[in-house]
Amino acid sequence: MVFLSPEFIGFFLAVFLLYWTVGAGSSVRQNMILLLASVLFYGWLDLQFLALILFSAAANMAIGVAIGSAGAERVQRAWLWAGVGLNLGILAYFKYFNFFHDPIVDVLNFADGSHSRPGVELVLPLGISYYTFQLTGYLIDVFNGVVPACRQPLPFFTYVLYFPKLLAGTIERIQRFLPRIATARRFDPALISDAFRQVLWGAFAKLVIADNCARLADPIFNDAGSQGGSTLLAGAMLYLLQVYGDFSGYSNMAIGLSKMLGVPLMANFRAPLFATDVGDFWRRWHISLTTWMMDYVFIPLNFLFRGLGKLGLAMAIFITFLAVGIWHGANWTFVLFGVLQGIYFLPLAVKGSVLRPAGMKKGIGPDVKRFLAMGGIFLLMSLTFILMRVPSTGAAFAFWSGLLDRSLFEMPVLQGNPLALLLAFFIGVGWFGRSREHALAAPARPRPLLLRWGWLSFILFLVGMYSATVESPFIYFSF
Amino acid sequence: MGLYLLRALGFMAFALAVYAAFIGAWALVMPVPLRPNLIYLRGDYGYTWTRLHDLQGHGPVDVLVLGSSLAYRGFDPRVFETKGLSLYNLGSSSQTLLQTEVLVDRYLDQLDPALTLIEVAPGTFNEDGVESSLDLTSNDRVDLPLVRMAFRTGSIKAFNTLIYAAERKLTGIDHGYSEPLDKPGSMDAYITGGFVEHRQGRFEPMSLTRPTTGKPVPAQARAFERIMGHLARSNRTVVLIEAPVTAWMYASYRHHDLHAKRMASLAAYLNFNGMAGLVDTVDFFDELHLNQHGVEVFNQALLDSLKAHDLLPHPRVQP
Repeated sequence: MVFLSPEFIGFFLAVFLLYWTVGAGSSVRQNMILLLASVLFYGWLDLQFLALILFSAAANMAIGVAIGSAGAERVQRAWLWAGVGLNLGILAYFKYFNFFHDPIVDVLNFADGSHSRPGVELVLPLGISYYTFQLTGYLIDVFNGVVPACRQPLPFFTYVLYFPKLLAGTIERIQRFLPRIATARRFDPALISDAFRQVLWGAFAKLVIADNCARLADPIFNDAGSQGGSTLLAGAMLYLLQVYGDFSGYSNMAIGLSKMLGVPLMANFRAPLFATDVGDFWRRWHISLTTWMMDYVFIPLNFLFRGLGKLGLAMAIFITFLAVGIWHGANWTFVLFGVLQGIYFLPLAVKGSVLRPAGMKKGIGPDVKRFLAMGGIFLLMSLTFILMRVPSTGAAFAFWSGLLDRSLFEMPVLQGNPLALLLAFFIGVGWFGRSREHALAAPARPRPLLLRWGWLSFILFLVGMYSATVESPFIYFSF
Repeated sequence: MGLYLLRALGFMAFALAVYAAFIGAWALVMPVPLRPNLIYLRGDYGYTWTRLHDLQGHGPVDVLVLGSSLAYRGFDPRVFETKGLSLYNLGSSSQTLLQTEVLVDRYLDQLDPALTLIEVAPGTFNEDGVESSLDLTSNDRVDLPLVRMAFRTGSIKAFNTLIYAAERKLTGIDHGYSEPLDKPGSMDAYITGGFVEHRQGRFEPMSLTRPTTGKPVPAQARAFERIMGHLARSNRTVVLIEAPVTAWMYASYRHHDLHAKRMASLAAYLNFNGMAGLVDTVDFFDELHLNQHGVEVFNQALLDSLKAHDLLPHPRVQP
């Protein structure tokens, strides 16, 4: 039951109608409907781990209260470490157990010449990376006095389990979320219209862009050894576009659905394809994760290393990106992904321009310098993001070495389809909507009704005409 | 909120109209590779257009056949005529139970068969039914059962083709069309009564990989239940038939015993795989389909078997 399935659409319509009729005018009723719907949604998808998420929520709420009630900082700190240890322990067990367990088993098997010790195949609970980070951030914020401990179970459990963001984020902060559900939400037609446009653009990004890119990229990655350099390069670019379409599509749908319930969530992508340097890229890509890492990893580390000057800054960046890489999963490919991103940042650290926003100039098209910078970042990220697709670092090195070949200058071998036109459309609409919350957000000066409806209907038509008929699962569910 | 919902309904109607207009425009302007989810297969393959348009004004028959290409290439009305029985073959390319249901809804009363044979290869229950829905939508009328089928298929291709087919019917573009019976490069010949004869060819297994068994599609099982219910309510005699495929192919079927048990629990069930007298490299032109010699051997065995089981109807319509 994921966003685009008929079951989910039926489920959401029922929740939507209940929420705005039975729940109207009462925040308690609205939150109860949201919580019940969220429990139902999670139970439907992953019944075996429903108890785990409920336990995590209850434990973190209790620990938050304990931190908030403790008089002495020493006691508060003890509770904080207990909570962080619990959260990261659960995450480490499910997500990283095999990462450490399998090599040990291999060594033991090798040592005694037996093959009797089996590996363990642990199933990853849905959404665990996202809700664990939310809860950990919450405990740190309570400890730092940024937010008071939440003592009301209904809003707290709603925050943790809220179904639009449950499976793949956004990693929402409690201080943003709770005020939005503290009072009764009013039916706002403008917000809901905007939500519909955002969901539509998300569906376009997922069904038309991501799934069609996957159709071309998959055969290249599945048989990378026999592909020419230019085809590998095309595969890498297609994969980056696939990940972007997939995850930004999911995020836009999640944020749009939440807006339909009167609860705006934070933006998760802001036109990252138009980034002009690595720092700019990461300020636009998976924003809820990067801001979380910024607040809870980078800033404390930067403070810790403050005496080391630029070296300290570089170390803080490097460790932060290592954490970003490892957050994605238990594989050396993700570690290498983080290491590379950290290395890309070093020139910015030396220049002292890490935290300087690149800005987004207005105008019909970028100037040559910006255009080349965008192309460079796109290429760099394409070549790096293959680490999320290949099974091992060895396969990644083989992929990169396959690029260094005379065949890099030949025409890539790709099945013909209308994807190039669709990508041009996707990037073009994204460019003109780059300064808004999402590409289809209403412009400042409203257009005539027929024009607006015609434009949205045309995009609906494109979704219907060019959706890939084989849908790929959302990539970020596996993180 | 009520006003907003009204406005939303207005937008939906507007969007549907724009969507339909673009479907028509795209079909006119765009080459086929640039409109992947709009596939209109009028007169394309399997003679579905001719088979269904031959039915107009057709009277009752003794035997009705439904199913996939194993049906329309496997049940020859001329062999049944030798026993004085009239047969109409409503098989079509990759027909699944979702399409069989539409045909039963449309034509059962008109053809009023004394015996209905449904070809039930195990794979039929594992198909999504999209390919056949496009075939049926492109080659027959647009009506409520067809719309229901498009919803049950759940494929955007089925919806787009349905909209386009409706536009063609409304504008009368297909009026006067007749499918060419002699298709260049084809070894097929259409025989009155819905059968397609394959003129020559022998099966050569060397170059082929056996397909793997798919997963059951719940919508097909539900359609099958509805078909059987419909036939039971109209007191029809039904026989479920597994038409022969090559032994090479049959060996790849997994859990066939479960399928056979289930079929036998629902109606009279006859499985002709492994029957004597059929040889892969002599009686089949590919891994699934009988050539004309094979069809004649199989149909004779079928008639004998129906007679032995006292299922063969008495001729009521004189050939």
